[in-house]
Amino acid sequence: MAAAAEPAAIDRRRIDPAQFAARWGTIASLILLIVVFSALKPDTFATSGNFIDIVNQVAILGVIALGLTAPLVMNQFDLSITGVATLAGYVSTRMLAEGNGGLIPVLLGTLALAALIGVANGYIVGYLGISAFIATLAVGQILNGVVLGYSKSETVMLGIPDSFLALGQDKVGPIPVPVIIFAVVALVLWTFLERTEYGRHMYAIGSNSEAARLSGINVRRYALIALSISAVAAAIGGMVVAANLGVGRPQGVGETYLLDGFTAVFVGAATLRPGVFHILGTVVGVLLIGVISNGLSILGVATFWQLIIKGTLLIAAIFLASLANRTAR
Amino acid sequence: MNAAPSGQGATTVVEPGGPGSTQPILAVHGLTKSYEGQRALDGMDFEVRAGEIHALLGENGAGKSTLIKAVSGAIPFDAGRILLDGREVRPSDPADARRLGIAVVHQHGNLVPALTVAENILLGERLPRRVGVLTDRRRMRRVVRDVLEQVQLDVGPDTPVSALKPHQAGMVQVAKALHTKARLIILDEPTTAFTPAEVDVLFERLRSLARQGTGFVYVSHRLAEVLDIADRMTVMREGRLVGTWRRHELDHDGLVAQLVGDEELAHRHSEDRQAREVARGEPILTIRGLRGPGVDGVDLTVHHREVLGLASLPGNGAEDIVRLLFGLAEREAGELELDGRRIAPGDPGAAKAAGFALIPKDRHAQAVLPGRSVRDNATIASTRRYRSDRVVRLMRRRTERQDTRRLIDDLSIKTRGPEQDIATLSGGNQQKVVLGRWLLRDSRVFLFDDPCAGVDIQSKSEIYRIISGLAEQGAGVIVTSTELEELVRACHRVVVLFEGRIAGELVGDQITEQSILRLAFGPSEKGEEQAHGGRS
Repeated sequence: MAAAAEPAAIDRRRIDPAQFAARWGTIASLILLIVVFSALKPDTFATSGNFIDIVNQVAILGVIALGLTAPLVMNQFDLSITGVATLAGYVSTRMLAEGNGGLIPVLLGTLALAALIGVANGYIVGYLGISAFIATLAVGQILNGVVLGYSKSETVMLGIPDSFLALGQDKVGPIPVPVIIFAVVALVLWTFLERTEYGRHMYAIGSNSEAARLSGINVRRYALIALSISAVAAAIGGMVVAANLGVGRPQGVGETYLLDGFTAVFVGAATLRPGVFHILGTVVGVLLIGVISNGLSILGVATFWQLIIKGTLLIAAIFLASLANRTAR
Repeated sequence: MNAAPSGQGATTVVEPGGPGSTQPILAVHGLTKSYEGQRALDGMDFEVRAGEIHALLGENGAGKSTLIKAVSGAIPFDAGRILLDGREVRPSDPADARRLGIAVVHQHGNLVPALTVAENILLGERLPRRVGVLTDRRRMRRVVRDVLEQVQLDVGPDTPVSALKPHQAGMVQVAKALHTKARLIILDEPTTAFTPAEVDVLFERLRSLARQGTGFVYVSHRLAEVLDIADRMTVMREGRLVGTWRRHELDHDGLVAQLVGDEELAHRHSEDRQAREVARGEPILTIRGLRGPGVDGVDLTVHHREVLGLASLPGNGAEDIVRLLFGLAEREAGELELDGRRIAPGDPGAAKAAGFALIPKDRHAQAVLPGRSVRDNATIASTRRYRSDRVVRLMRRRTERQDTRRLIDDLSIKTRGPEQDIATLSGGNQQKVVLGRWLLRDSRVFLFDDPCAGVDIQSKSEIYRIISGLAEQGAGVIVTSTELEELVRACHRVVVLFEGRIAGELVGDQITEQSILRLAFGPSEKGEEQAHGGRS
């Protein structure tokens, strides 16, 4: 396709409406929605308290979606996050409730367990050559099964220490802890992907894996790294859910976040850098979902409309991003 | 010989007395096709008779594949006529050509591996039905068994194609062509993956099919095979007919002489040529007894300050050596010594660490990172140099940007700056960035695999200048190319390979397209000793 690259060398500074829509469409709709909801419900929607609530409501989703971004940079899906999130919430609460360790060891141990699961995912994908979509789907199933068996389907309700519950319920000043966790994870992952050698290599693999390999990058090893990141993020999400609810549920925790998580990440890939998965985009995608859910509930719109609107939003965003790529290359 | 480069082709068309020759099945007159101003076919004439096996020969870029594509409807042509059984045709697409009776058997096959032999042969046509919807498997098998019998292929109709040997798959393609009532079957390098015994089997079947009236066009680089199978041979050069001969009118050497053309051509490019005489430096890379896929025992030394060319026909070893050196294929035997140190590059990362740099053949598939900046593309092979430390590994972007700017200046890369998306650069400028990727690290040996494929003329000469500059600065440089002209222009020494072994070595003014081709087509039977002499 040598010929295809030539005409694109012409000046790109001229503003192309399709390009512009693809870059700024999601951010513009986020602002527009905030303006509209504020105008309709100035007393309930447009308050600083509600804005913090919005972020708090999507903080867990946000952490999980941020994690999903890492493997997607390399064009790999991680569907095992459902199992990992459930496992992490259950195991951490049960350990604490049974007094098998202090808060910090349990938190770190759970994260280490998640990282190990990510490494297993990465080994199956990178070294056994099974597609990430299928491998992580299977691992997710296995984990769900393990938790159900281990828990005998019983929820951990009693004996969870307050120090753990604080992760999901406390505030630092006016800011809820989940929001702080979301912000920290976003900052760490942004730095990792945008500013370190690891991130550089992962984006190179996502752009052209063969070219990355011929540049001497160990492509297989990065599957381990990327899938460990998504697993650890899912575990953080799962523990915050448990802390927030005050219970360790042995099933159904991760599933809630799977579809919204992917929606947020894909909406993010249609933001600022069309066709590229990136952390800032994911944050915008998460906030967009938060504003839509919150605004519509305040307006008293039925929940089913929220689902319909989110689905439509996803298709519109992906379409816009593809439009940009069609004109840019 | 009067095949002047500008002439109409020294046509020595011999009136053939091929078997049962009356009217040709296929006649091509004055066929012309240009790509972006380059004439790939320039008034080509060609004809094939019923019942003959007609070899079509020419070096890379001579126009063989363009001719085949035009005849089989894969591409439109600009001027000229194609007559099928005396009637003018203009196949609009390959399916149209098949309806007219022209079928092509490609070297890599156009069979669906997951389907059975029967399903492949009947693919694309309405299958026999039962009750309107169910396929009538019994009738399918019967039809297919008939065709398989015709080509004397002893495999069951229900065998999956993935389970066939290469020559059997080849015959299934021929059977498929016969089933669609093809009168003319074009075989494009059919024997590439065959063993000698399988070649014999194929040839025997082709002869018997030809006796029944099918016309075959046989495209191959393997002269020994051509001299064995072909009733007539047509040689092309630069998109034109050189001549058509009956089999016994040319021997191996005569055929090579026609293929490589006039000695006058030899100095056509002498003006662009780099200075030939170099004070060859110390050895930088020594290869002993290298063996691996496509390479069968090669000894080679690359010196400081020299540009070494590796030349061969496709699949004869030049690219395979590069793959082995860069750890892309598994070395079976042999020792490598770089700057006096033993090395064993098992993968690209190890090859890079040892000091190799690879500028791959297919820029889009293997080199460019689209959607990433010029800076990212330039520093991707040397990120280690730009990271802050071994643990956190933050990239020092200011240094990266400075180095990229310097690269942009040094290589005169046309871009708005280090942050521009590489996909928006022209092909030549992309290639310079890819090259620059390896200049940013202290690479010791540069492997250029067809460095100027799809590059504009100006960038081409700039890339040559960079290549010779690298050699002057003391790096080792190995260049392979499908365009021999490039090797003539760029190299101080050219080693030519044939069937994975060194067929000969050319130095200085000995390097011409003709001399390279002569070696690349392999020794004729009587020239065997000479070839072995060249290997020492």
